[in-house]
Amino acid sequence: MFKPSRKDLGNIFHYVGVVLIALGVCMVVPLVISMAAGEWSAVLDFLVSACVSVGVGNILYFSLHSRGQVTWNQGLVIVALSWLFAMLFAALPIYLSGHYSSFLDACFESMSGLATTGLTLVHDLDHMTYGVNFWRHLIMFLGGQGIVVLVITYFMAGTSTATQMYTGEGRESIMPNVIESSRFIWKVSMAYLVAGTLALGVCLLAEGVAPVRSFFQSSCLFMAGFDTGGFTTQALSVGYYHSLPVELITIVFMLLGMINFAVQYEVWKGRPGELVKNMEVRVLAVSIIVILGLVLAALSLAGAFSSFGAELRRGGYQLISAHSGTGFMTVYGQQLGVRWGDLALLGIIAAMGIGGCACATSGAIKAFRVGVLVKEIKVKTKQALSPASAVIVERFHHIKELTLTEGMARAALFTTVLYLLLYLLGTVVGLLYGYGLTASAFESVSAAGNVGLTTGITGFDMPVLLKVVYIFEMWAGRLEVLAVVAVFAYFLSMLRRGRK
Amino acid sequence: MKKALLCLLMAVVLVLCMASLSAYALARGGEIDVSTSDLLDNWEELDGKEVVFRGEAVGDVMRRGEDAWITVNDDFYSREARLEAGQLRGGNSGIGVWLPASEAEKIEVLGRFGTVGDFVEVRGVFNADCPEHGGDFDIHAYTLAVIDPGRTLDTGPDPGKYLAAVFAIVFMLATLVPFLRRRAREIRSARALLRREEDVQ
Repeated sequence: MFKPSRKDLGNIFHYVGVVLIALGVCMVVPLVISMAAGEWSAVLDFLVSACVSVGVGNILYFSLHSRGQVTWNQGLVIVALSWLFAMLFAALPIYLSGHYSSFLDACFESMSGLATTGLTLVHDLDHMTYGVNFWRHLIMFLGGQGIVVLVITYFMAGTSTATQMYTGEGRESIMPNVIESSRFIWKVSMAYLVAGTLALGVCLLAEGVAPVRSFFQSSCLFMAGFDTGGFTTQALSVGYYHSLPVELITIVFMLLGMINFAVQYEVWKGRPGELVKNMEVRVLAVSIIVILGLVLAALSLAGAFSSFGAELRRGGYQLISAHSGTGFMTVYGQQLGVRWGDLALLGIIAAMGIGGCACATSGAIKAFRVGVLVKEIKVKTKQALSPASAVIVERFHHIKELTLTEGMARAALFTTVLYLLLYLLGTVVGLLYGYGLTASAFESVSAAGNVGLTTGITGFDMPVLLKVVYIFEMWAGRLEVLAVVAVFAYFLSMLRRGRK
Repeated sequence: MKKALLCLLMAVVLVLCMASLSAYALARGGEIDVSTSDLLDNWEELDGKEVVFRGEAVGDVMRRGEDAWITVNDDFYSREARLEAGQLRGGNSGIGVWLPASEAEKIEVLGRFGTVGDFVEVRGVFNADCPEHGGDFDIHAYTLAVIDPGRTLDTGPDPGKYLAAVFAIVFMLATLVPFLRRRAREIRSARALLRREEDVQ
């Protein structure tokens, strides 16, 4: 078994330092926004946080030198620890804002932002500074693209180390070179950011929001929607706007965020047919249609709304929000828990549990793995019904024509089981605290699937252990569990080495 | 005769006044004082009823033609600003109110960072499943009254924050010293090497 040494640790924390420096530099953006808005208290908060983050990053980066190439397992540990350290330092301005009860709550918020979950423990959001509100959304943008992808894009020259870190963040390479892939992801995201902010900004302007506020809110909503995060600038979420056009535009953001970047790259290259042929997109479409039917039937049975139009608008929006892993809401959390009925909630839980595409900003199991598992079931069923000598070959289209292999199916099953265990963990802890089964499962899947919808359990007054469990679920869920398992295995093997 | 007519006229006016007062009192009696949690907990009983809702106007007045949307929060912060009370009492709770734009224009200060919004009272019909707005959870108000005008808060930084910022800047610069010294050493040795090569030539 692999036995890490102190030198390996130096290698790991050297790269963690790079991430912290990058995070500190990013704090300049909300600092400038606060300065423009005359929020001088927030300006000082960001100044302190940025200096501390860059300072600690400098210490790690300059005192611990990179020795040789980063190995596969080191890459996983770098990614997992980078996210944990980013959570701690991104929480600094959030905590200093005075809107959070404790540093743990601020860490919950920053992990929720970075992991693009959207669950929040904020107090009095409607009176928050522009700067801190922007920071909450910016960390979603950074986390959605992958903070390590950010570092690879702008701070790293060597591709070997970059590859270990890139895949550790749960991404598949779009181009032969991961640095090119990272740069493509950032280019696309920035192009979408400009277009999305303008489109929604104009819409908000037409819907009566004042000019400066409309573009501020549209940029925040874009970052939260495209990165399937779910934070909003106002406490009533997207329901605050009471606007069908706003809901439709944010649905487009969520769909863009949940579709594989590799598929989007094909479309950008002039091959729109990939959208129709791609197995993962097909699975997603079928899943949305089936679960939407279930949710609409359940809402009808529960008598939650008096018209089909209202059921479709509210049910459809919450479903896309859940399936993409965003967490935008146009109904109150209490309405979900009481008026919608268990069957509709089960549909939403299933959508949250499956999530969007791989190599997108969505979390959860992902449509690709669901597709692979369904195809594997098909193969096994065919094998059972065919002569022993028969060879069953299953093909599918994902960017190119692929043949389903045992390895592919095993990997999909492995990650799916890890996710199911993660969902179970939060559900059990919720049950231990006396919450109902449906509500506990809903909240747990929402945290682990990086969704952010809530039935009301998540709040500043929930038990501390539950906050810690949800932070763990958000962290592990965003990194597809494996990187987090690697951290524990890594440090366990270090301890064993120490004992010997 | 004239006296009798005058008495009759006065009696009619009195009766009309009494009747309108009674009708107003009856109408007031028909309105139910509610909070957001009342509406969420008892939505079935309150759906379609005339209600009175009080709270802080926050965010934006979103004008849509002759009408407008406002958000009215009735949480702890609507009564006591977080910055003044120095207490955290949870998230915001409030509801969207759809009302004539002329009524919404009465709002002068909206609750945002640095301001306490006007404390308003709205009277209207509560909809748990608004047929006009695609199943929205809202109040269609016909009147709005500003009970307590909003105000601007002192948001100046705590003096301790200036000190913390100075320490943080010094800390960050101090972490750069080893790097700068190493760079200076590298530059010095490179120059020395260059000088030696020039001497050899």
